[in-house]
Amino acid sequence: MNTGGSVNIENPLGLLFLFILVPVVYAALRNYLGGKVFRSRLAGNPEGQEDEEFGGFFVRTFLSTFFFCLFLVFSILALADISWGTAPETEDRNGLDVVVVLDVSYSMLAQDSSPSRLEAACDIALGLIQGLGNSRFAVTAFKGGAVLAVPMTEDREILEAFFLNANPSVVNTPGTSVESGLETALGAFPAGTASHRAVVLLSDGESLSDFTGRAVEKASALGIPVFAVGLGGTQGSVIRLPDGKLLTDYEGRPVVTRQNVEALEAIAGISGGEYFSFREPGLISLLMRKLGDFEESRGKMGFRLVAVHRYRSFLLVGFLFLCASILIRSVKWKKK
Amino acid sequence: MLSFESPLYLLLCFLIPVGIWLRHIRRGRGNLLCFPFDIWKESGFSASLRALRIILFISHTAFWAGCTLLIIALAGPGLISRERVFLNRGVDMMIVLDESPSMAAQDFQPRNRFETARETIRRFILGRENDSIGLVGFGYEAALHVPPTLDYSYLLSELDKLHIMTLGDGTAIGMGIAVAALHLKSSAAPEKVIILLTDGKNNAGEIPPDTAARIAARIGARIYVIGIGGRGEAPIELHDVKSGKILRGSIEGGFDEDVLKTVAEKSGGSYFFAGNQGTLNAVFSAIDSLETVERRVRIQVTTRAVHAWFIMAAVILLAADFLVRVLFLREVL
Repeated sequence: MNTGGSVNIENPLGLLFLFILVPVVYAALRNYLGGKVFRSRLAGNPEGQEDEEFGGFFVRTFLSTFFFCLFLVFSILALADISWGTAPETEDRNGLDVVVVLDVSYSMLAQDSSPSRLEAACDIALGLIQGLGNSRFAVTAFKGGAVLAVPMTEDREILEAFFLNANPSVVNTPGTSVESGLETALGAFPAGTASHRAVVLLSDGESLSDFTGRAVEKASALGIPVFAVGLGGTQGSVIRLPDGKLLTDYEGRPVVTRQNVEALEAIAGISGGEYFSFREPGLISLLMRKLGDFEESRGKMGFRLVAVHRYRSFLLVGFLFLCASILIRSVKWKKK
Repeated sequence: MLSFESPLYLLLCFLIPVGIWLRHIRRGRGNLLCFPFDIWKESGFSASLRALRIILFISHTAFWAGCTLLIIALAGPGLISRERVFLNRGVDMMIVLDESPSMAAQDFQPRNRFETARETIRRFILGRENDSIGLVGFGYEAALHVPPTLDYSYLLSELDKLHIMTLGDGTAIGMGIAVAALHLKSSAAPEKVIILLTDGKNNAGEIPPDTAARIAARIGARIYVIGIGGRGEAPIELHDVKSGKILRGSIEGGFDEDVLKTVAEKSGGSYFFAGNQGTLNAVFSAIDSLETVERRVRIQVTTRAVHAWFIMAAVILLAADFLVRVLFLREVL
């Protein structure tokens, strides 16, 4: 087990539970102030002056509440599922199944990749299909939604026919949702096959829908790397439609699109894949080599490295604090 | 099925009765204030409010339930799923289905030939495992609907989308076989099979059936030919997609048995005649048993961690108990 590497929060939404501490601390404070008056009355002392016996109660109540809060904090950290380091997990597979996720949104018609981002993407896909002769491919096309355009197959004819004719009308839903493209891609690997699995994302990374990263995290958990190829420049380009007109927004201004490198790098990074720019020299060979290396390394080693989840350590500490909280209030403190 | 990564942690559950005794039963417990009623030889007092006692009981139950869930979470609960993973390749198959108007003949009561064939194909697909299956349709033209794939859910959804006459009025048997052969060409499977279902004579397309059979044989594909439909006159009811009209009439004359037999023989396959639903089922069962390969299977067990749900429930229950006791019941000792 490798204990080095970066610390990741696998379930960041779990940290929202920290808000529970607000009513808990508020209740504890309110109770202390009210309880002080009550306790002094109970002891028959003047208002606000606590009996020595009740002073012990206060210390115990304070410590018990403090430990209970610490229990909550550590349990919530366990819920957030913090991970660091890697450990090997057996992976007995051979062969390679690749799902090509093709962005067919209108921004892919921008001509800052020659002849257009979409055609450049299709050329890359065709090169991969021809180059990786022993692999099976599936194709997912996405815009606002995603469709499984070609199921997992080794039939080169249909794959080539698809990429030679790909255009934005393949998908009807308007918008751009990389998330749904990746989600559909993960469902395109048929069950019961013993091949290594990878996703090749061909996109400019411009996502108009909310990107939550759930699909990428799912890919990472399944051991499916996403190799993201970014198309288009970062300077911005207008979108020329097939009829020659420029795509405009509702105010009539030309829509300018640019590659979102950060988004694509994040997708590749989280899933354990790699990001490539379409300008990379010998991109198709490089991609083929990376996919080949991925298949070979996993095949030779017979395992893959997975993140080590550390939730149990946090939960155990939290549990000890809870026990301490119970014991402090339950065991009577002897007076000297 | 629920399993545990570190079941030894479950032994911590033995601490729960101890905790209950310490917190609620033990006479000398810390949060207990003692009044010396016994010097008057009288019993003490207890809260008489039933609602208060019920709330207290629920609160305590929530607390100990939360503790139990916490211990279960420590044990690393996971949901186990088992998947059959095939280690060798199966057969690659292409199903070539006639979509010509004559397939609407209603001699396979209560359905027509096309619907019956579709239902039988569906059952056949569901009975196969690890075999890549594709789908080609033909009428006046032939077209690939699904390439050979193991993605049966996609295949079945595409099968459901098929309609009679979408590929024109005609019967291009040769073209159907040729398209199937083209898409099996790059297959590396040890066995390749084409299953042809037709009820008519070849009357369209540039490639005659016997030539197509030779092409299939060259790529190593066997053709099982199924001639479907009765030999006599049959009523027909057809929904014309173009005009939107329902056409009714009768149809006579079936397939050219000799041509179909030749196609099967040239490719090393077999010819079957299916005159009714029962025979069609039997034919598919026969093909199913003929096309079997040795399968090497590994059972892959995957565990999906579900500890997060337990932690979440535990935190909610324990926090709820705390808030009820402190905020609502105003516990000060």
